[in-house]
Amino acid sequence: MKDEGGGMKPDSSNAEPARTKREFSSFVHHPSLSLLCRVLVGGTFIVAATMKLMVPSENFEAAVRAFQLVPESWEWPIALVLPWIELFAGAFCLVGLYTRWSAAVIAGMLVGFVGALIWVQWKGLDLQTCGCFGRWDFVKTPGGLLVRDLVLLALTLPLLRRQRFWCSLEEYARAKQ
Amino acid sequence: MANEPLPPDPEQIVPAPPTSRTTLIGLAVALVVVLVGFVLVIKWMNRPASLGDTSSLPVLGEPNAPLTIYEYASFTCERCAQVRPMVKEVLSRYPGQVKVAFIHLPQGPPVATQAALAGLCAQEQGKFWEFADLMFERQASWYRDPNPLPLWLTYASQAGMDTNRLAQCLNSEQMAKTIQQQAMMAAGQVIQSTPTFLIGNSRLPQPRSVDDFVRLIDKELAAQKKG
Repeated sequence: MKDEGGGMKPDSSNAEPARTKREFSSFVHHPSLSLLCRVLVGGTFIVAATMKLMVPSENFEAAVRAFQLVPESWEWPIALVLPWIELFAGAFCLVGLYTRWSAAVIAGMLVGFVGALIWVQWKGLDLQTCGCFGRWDFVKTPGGLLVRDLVLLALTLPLLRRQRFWCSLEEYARAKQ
Repeated sequence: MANEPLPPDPEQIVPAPPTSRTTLIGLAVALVVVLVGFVLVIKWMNRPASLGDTSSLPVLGEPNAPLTIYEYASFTCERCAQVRPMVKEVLSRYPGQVKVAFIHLPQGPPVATQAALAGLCAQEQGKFWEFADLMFERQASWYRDPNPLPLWLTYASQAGMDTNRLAQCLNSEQMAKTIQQQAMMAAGQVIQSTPTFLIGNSRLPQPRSVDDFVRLIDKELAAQKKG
């Protein structure tokens, strides 16, 4: 930078990268993008939970068992509780209520799912189904499931940084005050 | 243009004004109530239907046994082959108390349906269990064979079946309809994977050991005694 007559002029060699960075930041932080992330992530979790909750819990218990990851005594509680956590976290994220908390719960679950799929790959287990969407899952291979979960995780991360969410119940509650 | 400042993102820079905790909790409670109601409705809409007419299913064990275990399985399913010894052990532990009825749920490649048809044809000749035992025991030999029929005919012959009748029966439309009916039975019972066992009001998908059966059978027999 060079001082000319007391005024500061931007260094032209640094201006473009800085601008590109700001434009990218502006795009990433655009309110509608966070809404899109909420719809995709929250919607996916609601559908996944519904597919599990509409069938007897024993079906999902068998899917949990197939991963051979948790002790036998944990399989039934996981099969019983996990779909409800998915449903609540997905719905809260979608409607924008306690959004960061719900996004954090979703991110935690996704990290767990990614870990479980890496375990499956490492152990060379042959899963009949991952149990994610019951029998309606169109992704069948552990590799494909891993990619899907990583994409969802990438969509969840921006939600963890935000304080306010466009078109959310939180904003509605603020407006009502 | 290049030096024109970008408008700041208000959501990032302006601190969020406080929101009434009561309003947020009220909204959260309302959402939870809606979700629980939603789940209760979908669970009620997808409740398992009755099995319907099961008189035509092949039965292993004492026919008058008070408790029937319905086994949904496929000849091509590896796990189904692995649980066969468990099923036999269960029957020997509960003589006269338990019987097993087999329902075909062919999943996966087309050979699964063909194998199920062969099973129905064996049943027609009164040799289902003998044929099923051979199909499961030698699953690895025929499962990936592009033309497993010669092997099936060998098993049929070993099971004491008329192989010519079996070859004709495999093209029977009636048998294909029966497979469809059994698949509908599975759909009505919300069966998603094989093997799955229905034991009274309980279900047991992919059992690990005989103990899994024993736990549910004892429960169901005790409930029958009380009832």
